[in-house]
Amino acid sequence: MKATIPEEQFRKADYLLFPTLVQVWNLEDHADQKLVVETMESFSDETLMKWPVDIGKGKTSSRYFDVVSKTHKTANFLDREEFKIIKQDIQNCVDEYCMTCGLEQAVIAKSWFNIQEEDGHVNEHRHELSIVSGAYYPYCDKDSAPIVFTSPVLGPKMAEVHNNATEFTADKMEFVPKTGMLVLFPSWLYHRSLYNKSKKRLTISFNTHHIKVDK
Amino acid sequence: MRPPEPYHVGAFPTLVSTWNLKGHPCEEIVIDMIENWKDVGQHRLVKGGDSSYITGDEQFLGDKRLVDLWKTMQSCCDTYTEEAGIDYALISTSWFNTLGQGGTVEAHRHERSVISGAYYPYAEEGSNPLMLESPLQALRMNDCIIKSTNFNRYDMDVPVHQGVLVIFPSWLKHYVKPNDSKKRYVISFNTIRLADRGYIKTVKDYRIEKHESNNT
Repeated sequence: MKATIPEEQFRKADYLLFPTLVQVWNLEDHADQKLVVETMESFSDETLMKWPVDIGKGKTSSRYFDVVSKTHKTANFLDREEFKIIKQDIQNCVDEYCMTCGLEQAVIAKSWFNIQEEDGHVNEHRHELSIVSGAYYPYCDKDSAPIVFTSPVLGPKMAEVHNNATEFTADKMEFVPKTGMLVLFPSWLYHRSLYNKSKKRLTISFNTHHIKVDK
Repeated sequence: MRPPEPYHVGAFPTLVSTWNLKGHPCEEIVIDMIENWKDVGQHRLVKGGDSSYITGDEQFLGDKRLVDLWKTMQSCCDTYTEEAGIDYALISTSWFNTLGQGGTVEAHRHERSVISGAYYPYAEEGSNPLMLESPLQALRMNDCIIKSTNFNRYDMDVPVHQGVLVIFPSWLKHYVKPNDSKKRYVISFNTIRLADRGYIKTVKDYRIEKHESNNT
């Protein structure tokens, strides 16, 4: 990218360089939203795994207990036959994210859901091995905890003292979830969910991968 | 189903500001000073050119003849820090580099400084841009980039013309590719937090201090 320098004397130009794209979609009226919620809530507490304390507090389908084989298994929640349409619609959003970012198409791979009740939270993490990650909220009570992203350029700012909150000094950015919201972000961006104050906060999380080996 | 258009956030951007100072009253003096400066030598980052950065405590802009230029640049620094939301920064060290044809500056950043600046009092047409490196490059090991966009670029080139001043955070890596012009002069400077000025006696604030130099 080439910057354009203003021609007039003493004119100033600002460049907001190297931003990180976070994209928010509203899928609130999706026809399958209710079905997704019902399916999530049909899993019994015994089958879902509780997050270890170093990861957070809440229930997840990331690993679940299969009552037939009596073993723990992983499964891609969005791969269920009944979610074919909503998965494709989310994939369309991921496609647009990739186009906006100039990335080769990334397809949804691993997907799982999280159920957070009061005090539920997820500690800071990123999604290694993935390109774009997403969090879809099929249901959230009002006042559910935000997803919080940590600035990737916080590390080098050791010589700065911030005295005013601007987009250049922000070390965190919060997105308050609403029912039907889909948030897409680069998988390398550290994020967490704060302690939940509401009774119910449902999330489907997913990772993606490129389908071509190289460009 | 086609959902409504998404809401985009370009999160955590890095602020770089440029000013056009062409025709500044000090422009001719500063070119003359650079061309007649005695204490120049080689710097490990500068190839195919000279540098007045010899001791690491250079005060080129502290010369009495350049006080107006210092004040202009300090004012630009103030505007930058206000806009960025960081503490005021005071110009501390300053030096110049000259590049001839094929001259380069290796990628580097300015440790122990808050914001840095590069002012080009003279740059022939064809002078190579200042290249700024994305701090996010290291994070993109899984990405397959097919098109350059504002969200994935690895560098940004700021064109260099006579009179351009560029201010950027000191932690931002930057460099110059082999220069295509015969003459490209740059005055670079670092800053300290204004609040730390009391600890560093060599740094002057010419807005409130009298100049001690005997240079005329």
